[in-house]
Amino acid sequence: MAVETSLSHVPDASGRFGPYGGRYVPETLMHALDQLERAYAEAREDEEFQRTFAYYLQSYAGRPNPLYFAERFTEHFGGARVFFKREDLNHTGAHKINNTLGQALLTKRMGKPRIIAETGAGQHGVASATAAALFGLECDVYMGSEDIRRQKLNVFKMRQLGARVVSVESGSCTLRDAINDAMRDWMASVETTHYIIGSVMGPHPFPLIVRDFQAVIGKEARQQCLDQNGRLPDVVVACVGGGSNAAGIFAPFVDDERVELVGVEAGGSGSSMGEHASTLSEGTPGVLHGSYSYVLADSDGQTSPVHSISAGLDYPGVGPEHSFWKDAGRASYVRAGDAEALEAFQLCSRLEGIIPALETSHALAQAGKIAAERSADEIVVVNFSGRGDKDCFEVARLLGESIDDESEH
Amino acid sequence: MKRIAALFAETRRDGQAVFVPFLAAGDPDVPTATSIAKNVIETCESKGVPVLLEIGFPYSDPIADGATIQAAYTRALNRDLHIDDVLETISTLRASTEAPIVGMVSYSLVHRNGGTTFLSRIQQAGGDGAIIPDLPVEEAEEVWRFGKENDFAIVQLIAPTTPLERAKRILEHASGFVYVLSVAGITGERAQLPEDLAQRIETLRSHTDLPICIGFGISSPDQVAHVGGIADGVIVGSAIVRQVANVAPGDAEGVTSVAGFVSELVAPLAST
Repeated sequence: MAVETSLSHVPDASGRFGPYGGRYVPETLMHALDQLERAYAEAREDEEFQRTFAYYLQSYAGRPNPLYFAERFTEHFGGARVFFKREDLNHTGAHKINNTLGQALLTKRMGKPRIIAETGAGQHGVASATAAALFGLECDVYMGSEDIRRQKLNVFKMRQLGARVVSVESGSCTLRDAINDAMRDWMASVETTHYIIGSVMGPHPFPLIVRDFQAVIGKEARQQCLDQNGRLPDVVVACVGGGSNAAGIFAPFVDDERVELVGVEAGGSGSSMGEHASTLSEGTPGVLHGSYSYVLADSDGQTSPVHSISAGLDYPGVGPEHSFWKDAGRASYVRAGDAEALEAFQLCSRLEGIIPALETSHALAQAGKIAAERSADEIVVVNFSGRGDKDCFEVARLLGESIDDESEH
Repeated sequence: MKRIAALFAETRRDGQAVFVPFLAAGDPDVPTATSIAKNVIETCESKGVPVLLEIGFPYSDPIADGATIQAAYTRALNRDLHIDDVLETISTLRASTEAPIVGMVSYSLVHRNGGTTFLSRIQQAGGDGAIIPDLPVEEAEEVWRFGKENDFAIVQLIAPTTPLERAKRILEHASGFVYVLSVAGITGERAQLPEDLAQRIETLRSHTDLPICIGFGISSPDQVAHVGGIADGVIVGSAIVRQVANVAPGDAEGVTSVAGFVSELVAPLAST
């Protein structure tokens, strides 16, 4: 029984989810993390803060979004009934806004005038720039030069929203280098700046803060499922890169022992190192970006290159709470490859009239498999974490079509 | 560790400051990096400047380091540098010098390579201690215990953002010397050092007898002279690594030019 209780009472005072989490950062950041921990502990208990957060989620982001019965998707697989938790309907088109609104309010509360953020595909960057515009904060977004090239639309959006996009030229010039550079900025600017980390990762208290702000997804989905079906789902499925949308929908179900939680990682193009981003399935515990969790690294400890069709899942680490859930057997983590995701992307678009993000497509691919194996009286809830507009250029390229004006002239 | 204590006992007696050059192992390749380190040590010693070498273990995601050092790490890793090569470099250097050597190594690497077992490998190779810049006091207990039991220095960092009460906790467990960061932020050269630096050092000295070395942002002979006047040691990293960036593998002239740069840098610390 003690074990059951502790599963949902994490992290402990030192920021540990079982053995995972903690703080592995330079001394320069320790004081800031202590301050942030105190500020968040107060905000968490402050009804006024929670009311303000709830207000912006509702009147600005558009919550609650529906739990939608995907009838044709269900018919196609011919098994369990599949429901989509429609995070794609939030303002900015993904779950990321839940976290950035919460952390921007926390920034205001701490009296800091500036935020920084890292971004891979640009979704968290856009959500951060949006929250910064809304609350009148200065905003710098770190983005790998390679990603800037691939995600021009989101770069343009961030600039329109008043943010500065800082090109990261170090290491692999992608998301993990953007995180390195954002942390470096924060070390030198911590007195005036809050770092809005984009997932349930990094040093304590970030994994806690981001999970809490994203938990609105699972709280709503749980209640909606009860209201619509008179019972809880049998399975909850979500894609996992850093793991924020999955943590957000899983956390409120952790104490519901009979609800299976399934995380879907990027299986990429194969099982060799460098071909995928399946951190929990293929990695081992280690330290990356300030916390102890599963990582993809070589035998020396150097971070491995990763690949996924989806830029949002293309990360060699994962939030520590997922490592904890994995080891405790509370959630299981499986892989969906590039081809499966691409197929699910097209299938969902045609069957449901909803174009999913490529990240979400990984969860949909797995949800289809699960549904097919189950009986019609079972319920599968998928976290429909984002819409696919941002991925249309990439998918068109993969399908051998061109929708990029520049390339046609 | 004995080498560290002996060196600082001597320099304190003579009123001298120790020069602490930082070099990334394997940059541009293992033999050239080893040769640079040897030359730098010999240059200092020939000018009567006591020297302690800080050698960096290249890591793919060094959040505590600036662009210059990360670029050096990337160069080394792109040439397929492995942990064993770094340990080998330390033993090669140990065969020719009695200067203290400390490894600068991310906890990510320490953990993956066996934790304290890995520290003992550094020690066996001839290292006298380790600086683990991303291992704050809260997480460091096992490492301290190893250090105490094995006479291996665990060098702790103190930042400008570290409150005094926290600094006291850090000092209780530090060994070898204390690494004080001149500025908040990351490694890298700065045009100016903060004015309250001397005051901060004085405050820390009232809480510890350990030697205090200052690093981050030191790049000119004038800054070396200034810091040498208030601290037991002067740490210079990025400014030297930037010179190494121009050295090609096997480039003997390049090796000499790095030593020449160091020679100018340490001139103010030379015994007269």
